[in-house]
Parts: sequence; structure tokens; C-alpha cells
Amino acid sequence: MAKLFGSETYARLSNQGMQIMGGYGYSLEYDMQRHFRDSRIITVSAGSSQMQRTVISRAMGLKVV
Amino acid sequence: MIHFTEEQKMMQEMVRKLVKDKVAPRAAEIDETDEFPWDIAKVFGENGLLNLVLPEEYGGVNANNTTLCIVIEEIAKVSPACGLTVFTTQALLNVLVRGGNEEQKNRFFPKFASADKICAFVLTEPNSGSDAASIQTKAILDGDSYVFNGNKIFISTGEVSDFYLVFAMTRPGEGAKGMSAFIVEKGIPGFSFGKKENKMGLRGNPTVELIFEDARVPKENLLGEEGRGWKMLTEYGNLMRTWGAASTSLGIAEGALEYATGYARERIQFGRPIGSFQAIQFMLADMAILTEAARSLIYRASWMIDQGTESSSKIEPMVSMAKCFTTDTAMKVTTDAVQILGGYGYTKDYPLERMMRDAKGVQIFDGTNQIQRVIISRNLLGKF
Amino acid sequence: MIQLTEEQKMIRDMVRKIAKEKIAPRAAEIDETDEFPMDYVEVYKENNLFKMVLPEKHGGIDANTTTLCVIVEELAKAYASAPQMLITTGAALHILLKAATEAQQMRFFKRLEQGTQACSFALTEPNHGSDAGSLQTKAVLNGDHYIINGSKAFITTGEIAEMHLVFVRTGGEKTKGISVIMVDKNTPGFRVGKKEHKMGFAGTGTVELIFEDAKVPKDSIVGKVNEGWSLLLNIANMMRVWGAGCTALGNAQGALDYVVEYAKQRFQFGKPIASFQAIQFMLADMAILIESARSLIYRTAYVMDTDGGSFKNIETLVCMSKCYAADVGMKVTTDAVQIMGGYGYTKEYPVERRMRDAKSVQIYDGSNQIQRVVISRNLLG
Repeated sequence: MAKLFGSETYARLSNQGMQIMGGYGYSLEYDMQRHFRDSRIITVSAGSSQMQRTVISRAMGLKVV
Repeated sequence: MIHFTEEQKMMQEMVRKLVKDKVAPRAAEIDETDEFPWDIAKVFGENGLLNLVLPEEYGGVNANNTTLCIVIEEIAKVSPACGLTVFTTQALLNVLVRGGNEEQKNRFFPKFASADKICAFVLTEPNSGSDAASIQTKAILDGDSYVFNGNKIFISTGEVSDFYLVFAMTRPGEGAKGMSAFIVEKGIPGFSFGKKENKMGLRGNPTVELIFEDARVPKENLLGEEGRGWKMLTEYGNLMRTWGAASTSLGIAEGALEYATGYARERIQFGRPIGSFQAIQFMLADMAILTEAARSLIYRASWMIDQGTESSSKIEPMVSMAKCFTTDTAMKVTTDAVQILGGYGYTKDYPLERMMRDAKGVQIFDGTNQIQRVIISRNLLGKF
Repeated sequence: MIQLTEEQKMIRDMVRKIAKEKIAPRAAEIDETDEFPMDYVEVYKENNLFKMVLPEKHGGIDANTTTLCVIVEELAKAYASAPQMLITTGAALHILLKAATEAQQMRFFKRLEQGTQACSFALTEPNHGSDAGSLQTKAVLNGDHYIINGSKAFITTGEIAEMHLVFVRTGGEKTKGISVIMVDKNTPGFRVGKKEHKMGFAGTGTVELIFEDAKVPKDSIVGKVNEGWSLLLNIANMMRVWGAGCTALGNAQGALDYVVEYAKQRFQFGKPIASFQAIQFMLADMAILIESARSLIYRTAYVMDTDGGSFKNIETLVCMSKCYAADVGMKVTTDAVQIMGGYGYTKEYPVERRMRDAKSVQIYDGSNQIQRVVISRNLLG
């Protein structure tokens, strides 16, 4: 849960952060675009968000038939 | 961070068992009739839940913020409306314990020894909801008493309460600086009850209008000094959102999640339990994530409060975040839980539609989520 | 794209007037009592709304999908429950028009005239909701009659319907053995069972239908025996766009209209709350959602009316319309309650009712999960 929630929050906030900064957020001069790029890979690596959800639901006693 | 003492764990177990035995069988009926559950209030009293924050000699356990969170959460899993009785009662006692003088404690605490007293927290007015500093109910000193005039609305646990923590203007027109806090006893001349709201949810906890027409309240019932009302509200009152609205909605979310998960294991469609479909699994997983994130936020905020070492500028936004996030979570989780149960979830034969209606109420009361966001953004941005 | 004909505009104005004068004033009371609104039935009969999908020779106006959307949206703006009896009746009549013989049509239409004119559309069973293909209510041929046994659950309009269009199992497994049969409310062995006590959507007469050796004349089967499933897929499911979709749309629009006026009049901090950006943005987001749902719905209706797409294309659009409008309806009504604060939460104002009603649309007429299953199946192939 922590991995999933943390990484998706990072992705969402860096996306919003770029939106707030407008054109500057997209510029390589500022770090926000790096956060945006970095956060995307974090929701995929070390067990993707989809895998985390599968693990969580399994822990809730639900099995894929 | 979420570390409960042995005492708190025992309290949790006790309340969990109590609500399962006594409250759960009554929850649907309480919602249906919208009648105040005196039987439940009695059981709460007998088990010390109405006096939690009082010292031991008056039947309390000196409950700290976290203990209150635990108790409200457990009750709300089954019936948030019943949790409100404990909530508003502790809200008054909490302010009295922290903001009352020795004489007042000596005078009021013994009245609670019978463990059957219920209290209400009285702030909102018809034209003063989120904008609490603009309240207009007046309390003007005249001889040995303050003369109250004005109307209060949306008062939870109103009418059935014995004591009311009332915020009123001792110096009208001066905004926050003119606000004071009083303890008002039921039954004094000039203090009556108006309309009872017919609400969508949180039914069984009466939400009523209070009317003051030249009601005389003894001078000694003023808490602290004149003009201290706003400070009490922000210093003690706002913190209770962690164990009030936030813990209530955490309980609602948990109750809904538990029910929907059980249902998903049993309900067969297309020849297998719907819990075996990934679409349902992912919904449940997302609901669980939100609920656990909310729990983490609440107990972290509560821990900060109990430590007493953090500045109020650190604690205040945490409390608002806990309230806002948890209530939004409960709304989402209960809405999705009804969805998972489909047509059955929509009927009154199952508890989920009630939980969804209850969840909406908590997004509104105890400072709307919009006001919480104002507080959060003000703390983020500072003066600029 | 949303270009209404003169006739459609006239119908819209007529329904809008009815909605304002006859529907809206009764909404709170119906919500409170959950009694079936027989006064609505009378209004609809007077204005010929039960028969709207029928051709002129049968007393209808041959309403196309866009016209149906307009009617349902206008009624739901006043009260989400109001159009439900028209939707179930329209659904049943649609199937009769497409699959019943001329003689059957004459017989059924005449029978409907003798009572409320309303039909129910009976598919769901206690253990077969989304998984409708495995329904178990059985109809066995015995001489000149079918003997029906089983029960149907959550049947909207079931309480007062003159006739019920029922999906029954006449053959083998799953979708291959399903037929459609018209059951008169006076059929021996048939009765209306328990009325569902629901969160919202009051006054829609949602009941259980019980068949205990119900004896229905053989020629009440509509279309070919064991081919009922295709009627469901090809005709009935397409109605979600004007049924559930427009119910959600109208309900959301009604909530927004109400709360916009409220925000202009409610003062806090010395100003109308509408002057605060937080509220303005909420209202703006709600309007965006509603207009996007409306665009999707009327585009879908236009494609259907002009035969402008393949079956798969239309089916996907219909499912998207239903699913999206229902989710929009839930979000908009929830936020409407939020904007009104404590007042929104009381039964004195109509928005809490709209929120409870909105939840229903996410569930009925194919839950939003099932719509997503169909959408993704069509996407993935």
C-alpha cells in the first residue's frame, strides 16, 4: 500500500506541479519536469501499481480464479 | 507512530465487543426511526464512554486524543450516529477539563459521576456556518448573570443533552475578540428548542435548533475570561476534529470496506465469486489503500497532539488534512461499496446505503471540507 | 450535433411544462412516502407519453432516440424517479414493435389501454444481476400454455404494470435458452412480491415478481423461442442511452441549476459564497462534467438515429454514455450537497434526494462495472 500510494501520489503531484508552473514546468531549466519523468518510472518499477493492487487484494482474501 | 498503550488496546477491545453486541443489532432501526437511542446512551454511560476525558475519580480515564480516536472509530464502524453522542459529550468535557477553572471543575464534574449525562457543542448559527467568527448570539452581562439572545442551528445531540457548550458574543460586533464560551444547563428559563432537522443520514442523533430568549446563565458558567471563546474554539475545539469527524469517517470507511469484501467473497456471478474478478479486486484494493492512508494520517496527527511538543501551526493543518482526507475517503469508499453490492447495496436490507448517507454528513459537519482546505492552503502559503 | 427538430423542440417545451407543473411539486413527497405516483400515470396518459415509441397508427409519435433523450432528460431534471415508468414501458414496447407479430401487437396494445398503460421489463433475478445470461425463471410448454416458475427481483414499475415483459428460460444453458414472454398482471399463479425498501429512487414501484405455476397463453411468446437473448442485446440494451443515461444527466442538471442559485444567495464572510473561487471552481467542474456527458449522450443518439455506425460502435457508445453519465451524476450531486453544507444534507432541500437517486443509476440497467466490461471487450476484441 505504501509503495503504491506513495508512488502514485508523487506522479499526481508532479503532474499538478507542472500544471501550476505552466510553461516553466515543462522547461528543462526547472526540476519539475524531472520529477514528472522520475515519478512515472516509480509507479512502474519494483512492482507496478497493478501488481501492488493484486498483492493487496490477495491479502484481503480474494483469489484470482 | 500508531502505537497503542496496553490500556488503549484494552479499551479498543472493550468498545469493539460492546458495539458488536449492543449497537450493531440496533443500527438500522435507529437510522429508520431517527429516534435518539436512549438504550445505547445508557450502555455507553455504564461502560464509561460518556466520561472518557474526566479524571478517574469521576469515572473517566483521562483519555488523551488517541484514546478518543480509538473509541469513536470503533463505534462508527457500526453506527456513526451513536458515535456522535460520545463525540459531542467529550467535546464539552474536553474544553471544560482544559479551559475551566478549579471552581467550575469542582462544581460540574460531580454532576457527571452518575455517568448518564450527555452534552452538546453549540456554535453554528443560521448565517454563520463556516464563517464562525460572525456569530450573532449575544451574551450580555447583567448583574450576576449573562443574558442570552439568539438562535443556534444544526446542533448535534441537541435537545437530548443535559449540558451545552455555547459560543456567544459578549462584545457584539467585535468578531473573534468578542466571543466567549459558556456552559449552559438544560431547563433554564428562556432556553428552548426549535426545529429538528430531518436529515439524509446520521439519523438517530437529533440535529436541532436552540433558541435563547432572555435566557439567564450564571456568571460563573463563563469558561476562562470574556473574549477567550475564539481561542478555546481554535485551541481545543479544532483539535477534536481528529477524534470527531475524522475518526467517525474512518470507522464508516472500515465498516463499509469490511462488508463489501465479505460480500465479494460470497456473491457468485458468471459461476464464480465476484471477488475473483480483477475489476472488483482493484476497486477493493483502492478502497483499502485510501482507508489505511486515512488511518495513518489521523493517528499521526493525534500522536502530534498527544506529544504536546509541536507548534500549533504544525498541528492545525494536519488536523484539517485528517478531517478532509478521511471524510472524502469515507464518501468514496462507501459509494464504491454500494456499487460492489449492486442492487442489494442500494436497498435498506443491507447497511451500505446507510453508511454512504452517513459519510456525506461528515464531509459537511465539524467544518466543511472546503473550510479545511482554506486552513490547509493558508498554512501552506503563509502571508503573501 | 445536438440539433433538435421543430417537433422535438415542441415536445421538449411540452414536457418541460409538465415537469415544472406536475412532476417537481410532488417529488419530495413521493421520496418521503415511496408511494407509486398514480398522478404521474394520469399525466403521462393524458399526454400520450407511455406510447411515445409507438408508430402513429398505434397512437404514438414514433419517437426516435434523440426525442426519447429529450423527454427523459426534462423529466429527470424535475425528479429522477419520474421517467422510470416511461423507460420500462418504452423498453418493452420497443421489443414488441421489433419482434411481436401484428396480431400480438394489436392484442397487447389493446390490453394496455385498459389499465395504467405501463409495462415492466423483467430480467434481473435474485442471483442473476450482471450475469443475466444464466437466469433461472423457467417456462415449460404444457398444451396451449407456458407454466412459469421462479422469481424476478428489482423490477422497476413492477408494482403497477399492466403487463410484464419477462425473460424466461425455455431451453438449455446460458444465453441460448432464453425467451421473452408477455405476462398479464392478472395471470393466475403470478403475483407481485416484496417491494424493495431503497436508499432513493422512491416511487418507482421496484418489486419482486413471483411466478408459481403461472399459466400464460402460448402465443404470448415474443419473437422466436430461445432467441430472447438477441432481443436483449440488440434492442433493449441500446435504451440505456435515453433511459439510465438521460436520467443521470437530467438529475445532475437539476442539482447544478439549484445549487447555482443557492450559491448566489447564501452569504458567508459577508459575500455570496458564489464569489469565492473555491465554490466557483467546483461549480465550473460540475458544469464541465454535465456538458461532456450531454455531448456523449446526444452524439450517441444521433449516431443511432442516423444509422451512422456499426452495432459494435453503437454498443460501445451506449455503454460509455450510461457509465459516464451515471458517474457524472454521482459526482455532481455529491458536490451539490457539499456546496450547500448543512442545508444540503437536510430533507428540506432537494439535493440530498438527488444524490441518493444518482447512486441508483450507477447500479441499475447494467451496473457501471458491466458497462466497462462491454467497453473493454469491444476495445480489445
